[in-house]
Amino acid sequence: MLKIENLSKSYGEKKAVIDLSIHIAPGEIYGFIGHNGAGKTTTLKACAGILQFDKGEIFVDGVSMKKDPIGCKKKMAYIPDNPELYDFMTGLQYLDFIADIYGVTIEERKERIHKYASAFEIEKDLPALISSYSHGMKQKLAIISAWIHSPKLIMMDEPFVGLDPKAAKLLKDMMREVCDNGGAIFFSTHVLDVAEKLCDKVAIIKKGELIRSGTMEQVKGDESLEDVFLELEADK
Amino acid sequence: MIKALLKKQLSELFAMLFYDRKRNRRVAGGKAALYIGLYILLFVMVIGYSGMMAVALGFGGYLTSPDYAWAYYGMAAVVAITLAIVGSVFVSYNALYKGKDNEFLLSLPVPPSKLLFTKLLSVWLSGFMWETLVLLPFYVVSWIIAPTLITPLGIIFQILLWLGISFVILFMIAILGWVIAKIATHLGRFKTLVVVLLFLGGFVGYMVLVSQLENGITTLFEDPAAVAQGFGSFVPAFAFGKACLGDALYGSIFFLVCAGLFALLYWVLSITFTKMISSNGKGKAITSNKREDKQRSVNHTLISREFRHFFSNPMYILNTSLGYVFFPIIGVLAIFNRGTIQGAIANIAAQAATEGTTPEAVTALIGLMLPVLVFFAVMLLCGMSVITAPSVSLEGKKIVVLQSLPISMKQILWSKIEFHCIIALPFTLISTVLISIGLSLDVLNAILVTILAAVIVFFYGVFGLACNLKWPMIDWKNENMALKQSMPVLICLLVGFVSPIVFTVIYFFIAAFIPPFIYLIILGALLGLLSWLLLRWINTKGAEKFQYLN
Repeated sequence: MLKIENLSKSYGEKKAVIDLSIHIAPGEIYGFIGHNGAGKTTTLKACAGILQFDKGEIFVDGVSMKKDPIGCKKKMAYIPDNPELYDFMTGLQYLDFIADIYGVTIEERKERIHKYASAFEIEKDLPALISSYSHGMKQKLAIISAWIHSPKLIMMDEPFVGLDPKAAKLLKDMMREVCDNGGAIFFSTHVLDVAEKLCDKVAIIKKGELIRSGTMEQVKGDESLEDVFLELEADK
Repeated sequence: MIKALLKKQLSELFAMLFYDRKRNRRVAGGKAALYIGLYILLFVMVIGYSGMMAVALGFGGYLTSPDYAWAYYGMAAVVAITLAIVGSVFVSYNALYKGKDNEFLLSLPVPPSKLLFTKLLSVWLSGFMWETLVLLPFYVVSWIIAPTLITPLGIIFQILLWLGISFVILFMIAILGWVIAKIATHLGRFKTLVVVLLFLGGFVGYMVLVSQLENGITTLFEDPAAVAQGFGSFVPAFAFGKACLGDALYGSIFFLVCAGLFALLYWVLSITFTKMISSNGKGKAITSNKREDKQRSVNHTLISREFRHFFSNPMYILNTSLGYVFFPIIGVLAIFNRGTIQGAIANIAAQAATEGTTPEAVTALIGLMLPVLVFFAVMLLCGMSVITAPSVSLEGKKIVVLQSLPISMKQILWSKIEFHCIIALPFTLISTVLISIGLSLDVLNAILVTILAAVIVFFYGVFGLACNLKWPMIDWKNENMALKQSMPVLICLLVGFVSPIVFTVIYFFIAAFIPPFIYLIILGALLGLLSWLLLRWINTKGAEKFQYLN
C-alpha cells in the first residue's frame, strides 16, 4: 500500500532522512518510532506529498508520489502532529469541506459523520466554531476528517496525543477496522506500549536512518519494545 | 508581594519598548532606544500641541477675562479626558479583562485584592500619564499668562483635581474596557460586522470632524462668551473650571464625586474580579447547524472556504477592502453632484478660454481626458482593495490542510483570484458606471472604462497573489501580523498610488501622438498582458512554491 524507497531529505547541511526504505502491505498497522528529531515527521510529510524530498521514491497503492501526487493523495489521508484546522469554520463545515473535496456523497458523509462523531462524543459540538474546541476535540475532528472519505492509507503523526483513554481506544479500533478492510495505517508515536500492542510491524529510526524494522516479533524478540528501543538508542 | 506584582504589571505596560512579542525575543538595544526616542517625541509633541492650544485659548480671550477663565480649564479637562481614554482604553481591556496571565496569577498564593490593586494601578498610571500631558501644559500656561487669576486655593484644587480627573478617567476606561471585552466575547457571529461598522463609523466621524474643524475653531476664538455660555451647561466642566479658579464649594464637590466614582469602581471590581478573570473569555460558542444538502464542486468548496475566512476576521475585511468603501461613495457623489461637476468643467473651460482657446474646445478636451481620470481613480482605489495580497500568508500553519488534499495547487490559487474578483467586481463595475454617468462620459468611453475597471480588478487579483507567493509570511502568531505587516499589501497600495503618476507622466510625453481613448486601450492591453504573464508564473512556479510552503 505504501512503498518508500531510498528516501533521503536534507535541510541545508542537516540530513533529516537518509536512504530510508519501508514497505507497508495492505492490512498492516505500521508503527514508526524514534527520538525527537529522528526524522519521523519529515518522512510522514514526504509521504503525504507536502514536503519535497531529495532522493528516492514513494508509491501509494502503486502510484508514484513524484509523478502523480494528486492520484496518491486521493487514496490516503494525513493527520499532522498538531491538528491545524480552520478556526473560522464549524466542525460540520470543516467535515463538509473535506468531504466535498474528496467527492463523498451527502448520504455517505452524513452516515460517517454520525458514526464517528457520536463514537467520539463530539456530535453536539460539531455546529460550534473550531476556535472554541479543545486540543483533544480538534484531534478527534481531524481523525473524523481523515476517515470521512474511507482512504486506503491513513498516515498519522502522534495521533494519540491529546486523546482521552476512551477516544484512544476507539482510535485503535478504527485503525484495526481500516486494516481489516484491506487498508493500511502508518503512524508515528512515542507511546511504545501502544505501538507494541497495536502494530503489526514497526520501524525504528535514529538520526534519519532506519536502524531496525520488521514484524513486532522480529524487532523486539522476547524483550519489551521499550527495552529494545532504549538499547538501540544507546548504541552507536 | 505588592512590589513584585507591581513590577510585573509595569514591565507589561512598557513591554513593547523592550520585548518583541511577534518574534518572542528581547528588542535589540538600538531598536529599544529608537522606540523610547519615538515615544518621547510623541509625548513632547502632545505637550507641545497642548501648550500651543493653551496659549491660543489663553490669549484668545479665555484667560484675559475672569468671566470665561473657567471655560479654559473646563476645555483642558475635556481634552485631557478624551486623550487619556483613547490612549488607555485598550490598556484597561488587556490588563483587567483579557490579561493572559490572569489564570496563572490566580493560582499563586496572592490575595485577589492585591492583584486587583496592581492591575488597577497600572491602568490608572496609563490614564494619568496621558492626562498629565494635556493638563500640565494648560496649568503652566495659565500660571504664566494670568497670574492674577490664580489663587493659592486655586492651585491646591488644580493639583487635587489633577488626581481627581485621573479617577474619572480610570472609571471611564474601566467601563469602556468592559464593553470591549463584552463585544469581543458575546457578539458571536456578528462580531466581524460590528467591528467593521464601528471602524467605518469612526472613520466617517473623523471625516465629519475634520470637515467641521475649521468652523469650530473660528467660533471658538470669535465669540468666547457664546462658547462659555454653551459650555456652561456642561456642569462637570463648569465645576472643574470654577474649582481651578479657587471656588472651594465646586472644588470639594468635584473631588468628592471623583473619589466616589473611584470607590464605586473599586467596590464593583473587588466583588466581580475573581469571577471575571477566571472566566474563559470565550463567551457563548457560535454554532451553525446549517448543512449542505448537495455535494459541491471542488471549486465551489474552495471559494466558500475563502468566503468564510474573509468574513471571519474584521481586520481582513478592513485591511483589504477599504477601496470598496470609497467606491460607492464616489459613485453616488458623482451622480448627485453631476450638475456641480458640469459647472466646474464649464468654469475651467471659461477660464482657459480667456487664454486663447474657445470654451467649447477646452470642454471637449476635458471630456477626452475624463476617461483617463476615471481609469486612474479606479487604479488607485483597486490598489487599496487587493484581497489576494495577504491570502497566502493567512493560510499560516494550516496551509498543510490544503497541501495534503488531492487537488492541484493551481486550482487553490485560482480560487483565491476568483474570490477577489467576486468581491471586487460588483463594487468596481457599478461604481465605475455611476462615475461615468456622473461625469457624463459618452457611451463608448463609459463602456471602455468599465471594461478597463474589470481588467484592473483582475490584474490586482493576480498581482497581489503573485506578490504574496513571492513574499509569504506563514509563521505568524496572529492573523493581523500577516495583514498589517504584509509586504504584498504595501506593494499593491504603492502600485495603486504610483502607477497613475507614471501613466500620467508617460502620457504627457506622448499626448501629441495618441488620443486618450487609444492610450487607455494600450494601458488596458498592457495590464492584460501583465496579468497573463503573472498568471502563468502563478500556475507554474507559484503553485510549486505553494505546495511546499511551510
